[in-house]
Amino acid sequence: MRLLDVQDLHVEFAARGLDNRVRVARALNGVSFTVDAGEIVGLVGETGAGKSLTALAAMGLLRAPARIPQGGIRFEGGDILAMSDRQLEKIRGRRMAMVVQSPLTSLDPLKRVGDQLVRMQRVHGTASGAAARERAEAMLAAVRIPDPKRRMQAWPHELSGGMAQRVLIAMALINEPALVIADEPTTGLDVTVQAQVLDTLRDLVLARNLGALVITHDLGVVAHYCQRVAVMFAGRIVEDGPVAEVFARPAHPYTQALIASTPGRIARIGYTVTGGTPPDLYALPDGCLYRDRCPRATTACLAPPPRVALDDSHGAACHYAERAA
Amino acid sequence: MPTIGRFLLRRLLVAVPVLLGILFLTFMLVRIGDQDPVAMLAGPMADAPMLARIRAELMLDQPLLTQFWAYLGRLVQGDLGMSWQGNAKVTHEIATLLPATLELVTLAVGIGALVGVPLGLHAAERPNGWFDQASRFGSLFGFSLPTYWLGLMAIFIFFYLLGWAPAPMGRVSMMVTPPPVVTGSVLIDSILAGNVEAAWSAASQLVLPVGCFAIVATAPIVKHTRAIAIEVMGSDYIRYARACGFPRRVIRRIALRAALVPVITFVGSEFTSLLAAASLIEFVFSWGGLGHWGLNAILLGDFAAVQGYVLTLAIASVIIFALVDLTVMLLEPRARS
Repeated sequence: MRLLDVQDLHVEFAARGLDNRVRVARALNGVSFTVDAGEIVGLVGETGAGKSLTALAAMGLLRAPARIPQGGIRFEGGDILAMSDRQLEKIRGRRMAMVVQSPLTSLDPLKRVGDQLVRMQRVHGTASGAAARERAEAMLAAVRIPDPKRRMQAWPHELSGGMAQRVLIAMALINEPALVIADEPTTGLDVTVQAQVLDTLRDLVLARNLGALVITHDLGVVAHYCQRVAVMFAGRIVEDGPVAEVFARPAHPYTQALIASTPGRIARIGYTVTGGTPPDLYALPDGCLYRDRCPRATTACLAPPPRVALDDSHGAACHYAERAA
Repeated sequence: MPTIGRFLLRRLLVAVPVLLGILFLTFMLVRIGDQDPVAMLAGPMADAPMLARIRAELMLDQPLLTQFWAYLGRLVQGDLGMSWQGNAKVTHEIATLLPATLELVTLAVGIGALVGVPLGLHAAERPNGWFDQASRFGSLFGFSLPTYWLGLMAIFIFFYLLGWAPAPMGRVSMMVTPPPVVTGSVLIDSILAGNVEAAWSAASQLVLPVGCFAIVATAPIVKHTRAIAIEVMGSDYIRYARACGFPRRVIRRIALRAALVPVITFVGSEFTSLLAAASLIEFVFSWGGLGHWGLNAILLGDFAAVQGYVLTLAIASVIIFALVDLTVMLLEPRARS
């Protein structure tokens, strides 16, 4: 049984425009990936590709006007899409926890750090009272916050960004969940702090044999911290596989373009990426969504590309995947 | 706590120039108008030497700045001058009349907050739902009604047509013996004195003016509470609380706690503005409070009374805002550092 198993997930938004016509934005168009215990999976792609939306859907946090017309999400064997709010509340923060991207504004501004960690345990019934305080302090120490006893008394506004992000990681892990979803956990942090925070997250996840989904637009983060990667474009996974494999032999032209646009490469060989914008989600074309930007597009790309398996774990959604790889 | 002492001291230091400025403006404004209190005080029979004598007595023949300086000199000794309309000390008039106005405004704002805050919160639960639409319409209605018109209509319907309310003549019926003054609120004083008849009369006199004023007070409280609650519900920490799997009641508590500070701030500012707006309602109901007196003073050119009235309102605002900020400091950790 997979820890998290997302199959053919579609998400759309219906919005009434000023002309009173309902228009549908197809934000996710068949997303499939899995996360197992003990592995860190990176979900990478440009802004608007649907990374965060995928995370929200996995947590059962989507609400109107978002709709899921098709697809399935199974977590620890349970069907997330069929669960009631009450059932989801028991899973969120308990079995699957989220580390969000704006730590300073996400913590309750009117509660001390220690009290928030205690509340997290009390609400989910994992611990209470002195035991919860003790665990909270131990957790702050585990995410390498110096002087955790004193930090228990701190207000969120007294924390630095990196410190607050560590508190969020402590919040996520304190109930010993099976899966951690980190949505751009290091946006807005200094590069050195980023590395420290991600090191902490990785060490804790691997030490406890958890599964983790790390959402990022930073290929460097993926290369460093993830075992497997799924590359998203316009609400689809265009390529997925072991990180070493995907980086060594990227098969989808979009993955190739992404790798070509990492700062190190640009410094060596300059910009090679052609321009273009993601397709309009309100009027998605049939066939391959990347074809307008793709250097190797042909008439074959007017048909939707299948996932071409390059070996048993690496695949790409491109008609020409095999030839390119 | 030394922080609170320092805070109050700083507030006081800031308040002095503000009050001086307000006093100066009021002082000059009443004098550059074309009201001539001398003619009114002297009566129709006065001749020119008598007018000149009164004018000199009142220092009105002196340059404006000299007059202001002399006024300040008396002010620091606690003397606000004489009110000509009642031939009484302004300080004495304010002390007797302020409780009547405070009673009215406190009840109106109290009811406004008790009704308006829950309505606003409920409306915010489903933005653009039917309840939200209805409450928005209602508060727009409350906003748009002129206070005095509301009072006149209430008198017309409940006193004149239906006969349910007592005559709009003051704070207690003329047929009952008023209780000895303790707090200045006739209702509370009657209860303290055990005078049931006077208490009943005072309560029934309060119903219409407080009711009208409460409508005026409720409308903006509903509107702002709704806006505050919607903002809180869309905040990062509420979204995060959902992602943490907190059940609805926990999220609701976090949101309420977060909305408390801005709501208190708004109700406080509402109180100060209604303190000034009370004059119209008091006038319509012959309430005989500070607002009524101040409005008369403006109409009659009772300079010292107008100055005393405006100064009282300004001091009340300073005190209320200091209290509000003190409450915020206690409730909001970010305000303490």
